[in-house]
Parts: sequence; C-alpha cells; structure tokens
Amino acid sequence: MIAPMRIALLRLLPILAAPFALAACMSAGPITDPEVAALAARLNSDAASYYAALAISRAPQCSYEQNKNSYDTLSASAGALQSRLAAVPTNPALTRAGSALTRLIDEARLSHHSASAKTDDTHGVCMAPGAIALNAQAIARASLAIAATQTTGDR
Amino acid sequence: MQIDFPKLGKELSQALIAALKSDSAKIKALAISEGEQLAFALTRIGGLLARREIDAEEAAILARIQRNASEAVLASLAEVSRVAAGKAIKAAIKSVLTSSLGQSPIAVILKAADA
Repeated sequence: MIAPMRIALLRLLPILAAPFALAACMSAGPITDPEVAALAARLNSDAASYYAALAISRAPQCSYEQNKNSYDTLSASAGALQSRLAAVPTNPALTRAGSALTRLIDEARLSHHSASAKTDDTHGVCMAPGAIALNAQAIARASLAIAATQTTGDR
Repeated sequence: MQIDFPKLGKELSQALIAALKSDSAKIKALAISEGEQLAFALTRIGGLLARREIDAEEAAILARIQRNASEAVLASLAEVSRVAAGKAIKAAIKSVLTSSLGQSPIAVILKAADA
C-alpha cells in the first residue's frame, strides 16, 4: 500500500518541479503588484497540495463528488486572481492569462468529473495518476508564469 | 503509433516562435520551453489514451487544459499581445497535426476538438 503511494509521489515530483525551475530563472527585480503575486502563489500552492493528496487517495475519497469542494476553492482563487488582474491592468495581456487560468481550472474540474463518471476502466471513480500529474503541472505552469510577472516586472 | 517526443517538441517550439513573430530572446526562450512542455503533455496524453487509462473525451479535456496553460504562460509575457498567445498555440498545434502527430489517436482527438 505504501510503496505505490511513494511511487505515485515520486512520479509527480519532476513534473511539478519543472515550472518552479522556470519561474525561479525569471524571478528577479521589484514586485509590481504584491497581491497578484500572492494570489497566484497561493493558487499554485493549493493546487499542488490538493493534487499530491489526490494522487495517493483511493475510492471513494478520490471520486469527483468527494472533491467538489477542493475545485470550488481553486475556482474561487482563480476568480480572485482574474478580478485583481482586470482591476489593476499593468499589462492587458495578463488579463487574458488570468482568464486562461480560470478556464484551465474549469477544465480540470471537468476532467475529474468525466473520469469519475466512467468506472469501466482500471481506475474506477479515480482519475488516472498520469492525468492527475498533468493537471497539477498545467496549473503550476500557468500560475507561476503569472506570479513571475510580478517579480520580474518587465515580463 | 509512437509519438516522437523530441521531434514534436522541436516542431512545436519552432511553430510557436514563427507565430509569435518576435526577435526577443526572452520570447524565443519561453516559446522553446513551452513547446517542450506541450510536447511532453501531448505525448503523455497519447500514452494514457493508448493504454486505455483515459478515453477520447478525457483526452480532449486534458489537451484543452494544456492549451490553456500554454496560453496563460505566453500571455504573461509583456511583449505578447492578448490575441497572439492564443493564435500561436493554435497555429503550433495545427502545424504538428500533419507531421509529428500524423495519424496518432491524439491527433484525431485534437483535430476533432478544433473542428
């Protein structure tokens, strides 16, 4: 039981680490809007924690029904970030980045719902571990890119 | 059909650079990074589909998630316009549908999703 959990986590690590490395390379200089940086960082952190826990959960805890609240939280965080980006438009294109991130969270919810609705595969109501890793990586990539704009200033 | 991941990454990166029409080294570096990320993700989605861990509907959703992530990353660059980011991703994916992805199941799904 413990060994598969460790393997699942180990598989997630390099994928989750890649966007951090990219953001770290681009992080330097003054913060232009600390609230945007904080909201994006919190969304990334919440999503990483959520997907790490989901990767080691089993049925029925892994089902969409049991995880609706987590998606509500992620959607609320993405909505708050999008609102802030629209309210303080330091870069008009960032508003589009914010809406792409909001759509991404909506699609992540949909992918979990779709996976749980079909129980005729090997994972039953759970999402495939590979799909969990991909969704976690996508949210990290997008949220860290937005956070990095507030630390590089000129991105 | 096995997807040639390095070739796919190179093609996506080159297509993104061409679509963004910029001489900025920063944009080129991010386009290369994003092309590789997208190639990695599409290859993984193709693998999950081939092993029947996901079905066509889930594969299409996962592909849209990756497109949105790439669009968010490119749109976060000050030099990239709001419209250019989305168009660049669309053009890059379209360009590999007839080359690296060929007749792979993931290509069929991407074509259907774009139709």
